[in-house]
Amino acid sequence: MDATSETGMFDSLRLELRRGCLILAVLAQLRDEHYGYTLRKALADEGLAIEESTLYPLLRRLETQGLLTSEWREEEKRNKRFYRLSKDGEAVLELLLAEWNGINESLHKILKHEK
Amino acid sequence: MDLLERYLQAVGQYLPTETKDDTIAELRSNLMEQIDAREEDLGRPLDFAEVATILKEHGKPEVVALRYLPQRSLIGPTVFPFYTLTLGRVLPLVVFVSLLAKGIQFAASGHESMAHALGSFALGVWYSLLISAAIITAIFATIEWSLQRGKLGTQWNEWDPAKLPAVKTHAAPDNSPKSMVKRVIDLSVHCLWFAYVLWVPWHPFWIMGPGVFYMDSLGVTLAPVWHTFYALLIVLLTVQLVMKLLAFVVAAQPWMQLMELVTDLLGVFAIGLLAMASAYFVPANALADLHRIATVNHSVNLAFRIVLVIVVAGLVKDGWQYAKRSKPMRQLAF
Repeated sequence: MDATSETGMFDSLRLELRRGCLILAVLAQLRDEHYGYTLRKALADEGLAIEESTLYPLLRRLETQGLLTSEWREEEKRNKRFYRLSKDGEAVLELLLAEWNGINESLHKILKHEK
Repeated sequence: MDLLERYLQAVGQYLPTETKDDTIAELRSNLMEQIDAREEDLGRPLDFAEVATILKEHGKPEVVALRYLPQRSLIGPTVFPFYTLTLGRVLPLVVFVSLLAKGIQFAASGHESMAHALGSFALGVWYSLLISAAIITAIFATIEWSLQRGKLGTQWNEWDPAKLPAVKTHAAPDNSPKSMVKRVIDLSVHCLWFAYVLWVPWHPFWIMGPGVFYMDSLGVTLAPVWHTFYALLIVLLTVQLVMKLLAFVVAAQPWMQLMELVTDLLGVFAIGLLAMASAYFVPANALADLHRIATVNHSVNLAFRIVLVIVVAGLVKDGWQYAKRSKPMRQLAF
């Protein structure tokens, strides 16, 4: 396998790995109210940079699925759309976190065996 | 901010009407926030190029808009393997049925040339393949649509391991060379057959029997096409003789199947020559019944066309099997 195809394959696998994690991170971060721009900054500050063109449509999709609620409000003389985790979102987040912790533990065990 | 508005307008062109204003308002708010933050960092308003850089980083308008649309796929990952499997099974069948239909049409027409028949088949088969693929795609897209809306329930995915068919025992293909006795018998029989073919033109009774006297009574003789066919037959038998001799050489074994295919092709060519001919018997004298000769020629032509269709189908089958056997297993693996 040449270096280009190896990089391409790695990028594709990395994207797949990040996809689910991003949803979890967004839901967890939205336990506190945010609008798109500040949410992106908050995630980036925690080391999870995400493109605007990925984040904003994701927020819409999660809202359509009933996991988020949103409202337009004026702040600093500008109308902004604020997102927050809904009741259903909270329940789903708990389940997803339990799943995440399970996967994390298993992975740690597997990686420990490798050592 | 003219550039921002132009960008938002470009994005808006691809958004659905019902959500367009809301999405654009949110995008505007987020992008303005980003621009404000950058201006605050620099302590001055952004120029045209700097705004353009932010917008470029945000993404091409069409791509940005598409991400806001519901995620749809014509055929999703669950159904896709069944889709490709069906295409793989049905499309070769379409080629076979088209070939058969064309062969029957060719044999029945009696006046269509081989080149025309092959040309019309080559054109027609693409059309058939395209239509078949389109129908299969439409069916699977409908299945996908129904699955997405839960209209198929879970029954389509239910199965019982106990109902799986028993393991098939494939007999390994016999690629071992024939025994020495078989090869000697094979060569002897072929030599006898070759000698008979060389001898028979001077003794036509040994091939046509009493038909020779019947031909004489009708006042007909063989047409020149038989001379060409005879020459081809001699070439074919010579090639086969060489093959029978090569069967004694171990190094030639891997090539035997391919050579058999080549001789089959020569055989088809010889039959094709006869199928293309219009006259097999010609008047030998002025007393010959021309109407009867024409009827006999037409019947013989029809018979050769049918034989040609059968041998071509056999050759296609042998060629397919040879290609399948020649393909390395790695290529066949999923």
